[in-house]
Amino acid sequence: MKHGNPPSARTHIRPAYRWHRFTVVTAVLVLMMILLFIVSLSVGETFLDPLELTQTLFGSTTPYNQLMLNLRAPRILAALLAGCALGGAGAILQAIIRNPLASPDLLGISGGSSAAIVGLLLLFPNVSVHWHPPAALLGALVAAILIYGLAWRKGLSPTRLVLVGIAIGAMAAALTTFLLVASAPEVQSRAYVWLVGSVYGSDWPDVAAGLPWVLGFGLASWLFAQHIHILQFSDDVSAALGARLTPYRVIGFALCVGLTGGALALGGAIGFVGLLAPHIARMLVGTEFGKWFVTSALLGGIIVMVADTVGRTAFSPLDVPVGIFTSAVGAPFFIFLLLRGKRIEGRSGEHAAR
Amino acid sequence: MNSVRTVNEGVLTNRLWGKVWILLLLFIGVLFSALFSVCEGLGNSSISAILAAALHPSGSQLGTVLQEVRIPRALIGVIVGACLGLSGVLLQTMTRNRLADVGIFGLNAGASFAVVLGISLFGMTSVSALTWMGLLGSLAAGACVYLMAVSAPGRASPTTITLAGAALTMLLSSLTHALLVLDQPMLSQVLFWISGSLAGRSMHALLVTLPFLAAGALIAVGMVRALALMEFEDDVAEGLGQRVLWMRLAAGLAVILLAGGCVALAGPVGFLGLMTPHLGRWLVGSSMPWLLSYSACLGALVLVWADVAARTVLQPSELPIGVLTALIGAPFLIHVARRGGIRS
Repeated sequence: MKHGNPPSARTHIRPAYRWHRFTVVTAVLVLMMILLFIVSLSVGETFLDPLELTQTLFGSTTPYNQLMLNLRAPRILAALLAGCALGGAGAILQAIIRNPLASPDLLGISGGSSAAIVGLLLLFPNVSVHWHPPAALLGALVAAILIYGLAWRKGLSPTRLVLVGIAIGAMAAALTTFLLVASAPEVQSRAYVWLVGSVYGSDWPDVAAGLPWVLGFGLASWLFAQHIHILQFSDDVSAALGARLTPYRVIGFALCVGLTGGALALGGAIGFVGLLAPHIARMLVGTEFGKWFVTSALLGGIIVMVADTVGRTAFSPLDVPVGIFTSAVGAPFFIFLLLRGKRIEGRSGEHAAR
Repeated sequence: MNSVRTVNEGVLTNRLWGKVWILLLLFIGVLFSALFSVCEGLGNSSISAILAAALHPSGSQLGTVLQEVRIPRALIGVIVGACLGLSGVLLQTMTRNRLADVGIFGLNAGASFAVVLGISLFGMTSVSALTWMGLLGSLAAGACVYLMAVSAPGRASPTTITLAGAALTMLLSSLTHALLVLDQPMLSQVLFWISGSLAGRSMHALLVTLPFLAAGALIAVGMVRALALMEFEDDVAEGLGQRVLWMRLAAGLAVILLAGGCVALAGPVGFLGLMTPHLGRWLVGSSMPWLLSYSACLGALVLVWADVAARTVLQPSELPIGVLTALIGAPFLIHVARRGGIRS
């Protein structure tokens, strides 16, 4: 099956097979997620017996483990949530732009969030973490509106969207540096770690601050999945199927922005997850959007959780930010995809002149 | 693609004297901007006092400031700006890609990663060692982008290459950040290499880097005619007697010398090389000798003023110059993307 093409007719002719496959994939992923969660809870500077841990999870209190749970569990959960949100956001973006190479970070949406959060840290160093998600969201929203508006010219061409996204991303990065330079050294190093993408030092309030946003927007996207699915066809087909293209696309974009903002508030600029997860998910379950979205979110969570666990343990006592791992894996993968001849020019007729 | 290229015409294409006068004007503008950059913020010393102090820096405080800080800074601004302008024209011509820029293609990121690597892992401090690291870094990144371009099935479209460059930049900058996160004390020391700045660069650094930049610029000037032919498709250029591969290698070498040298001198300064060829093309069209000289002058002009802004906007702290060039230059990317004609 060719990726990036509109969903094949097969998806509709043999739904039973697809559903079956989706159930299996989801079950396996959820199981993997739980297992990996327990594994990453138990590994670290002090190894904890997984069995004992599981008992702790189910109520029996051992003070030592309780402490570990308060240190490790929030961090792992933050990674998990951020990853899920990024995976979901990536799937939405790839669907509405009909471009398997789109991701919130390459398109500059994450850049807007980064600038907003660094700005927030600079202006109000002592602000409660509950303000991080709205700020990240606002930044992402501004960036997205700019990208969308500037790329709009008698319609939306994927090529233009990508290029404008890169430009807006560069401007957001410049703005972030501007804010970074203008701020005090302690804010600088805090913002810095955050910019690379790290869940270091996340605690329960952080998770609690990010959770509603990720869950809310995730649920909304899932409910809206049917409409996003239609957007994957060419404009003519979707219009013939009764989709109101522009409103649907705008809502899809907004959902993607919400998820990106939530993810960034939780884990900083964790790169390339929004690209990797939807890709693997598409290979697993195809492009029927509801399934694709769920699988992509699960995969995103797993990827970030594993990357963070490795970053936390493999180079101990150093704590390598998770974003470095995901970029180190994701960027080569992206380039590989690019070179395998994926057209980023969409089917809307617009294309680069060569 | 086998379209027939029409000659790109600019506002001044058919006015020889217009081109000469505007170029002269730009040149004088560069000189005055550099002079302004030297004098700006020196309190109430008169121009004549500054000139006297500059000519006879015999121990006076003003003379020392001028000699150690202001003059090198203005000179570096002019030279780096001009070199980036040249490199932009070279890169856009040789790749026939109007989106090409040493920043966008990841050459800057490669050079700054290499420099940070040199400082953190190998403890390099000398300017010449860092210059070599910068050259190596931009060479490696340039080779990566080139390999991507040629290994793509068919021929990679400008947008594909731009995306590949963006991904490469993200990868390299996250690796750079990784080095910095692991070595926090180094952060303030090398923040410079991450966003570009003309602050605190000495005349010595300029002298060490100058040969590389001069070599790059000379190659660029020497192959003006060949460059004009590189705008054509390969087979056309070959038919006109060009050895395309050699020309491309030479142009690539020039770009890397210019870009690596600029990073070693001023850190990564993005988007300048994207912006100036577009401005130049708007003025004089794609006639190569004119385009090169206009682009160089415009680059110098923009960079000197960006530097003046960088050190005055946020006083007393100083803004990285890359921030300003990105803010000025990124809209050009949007403009090119919106106009749709990615290829001229």
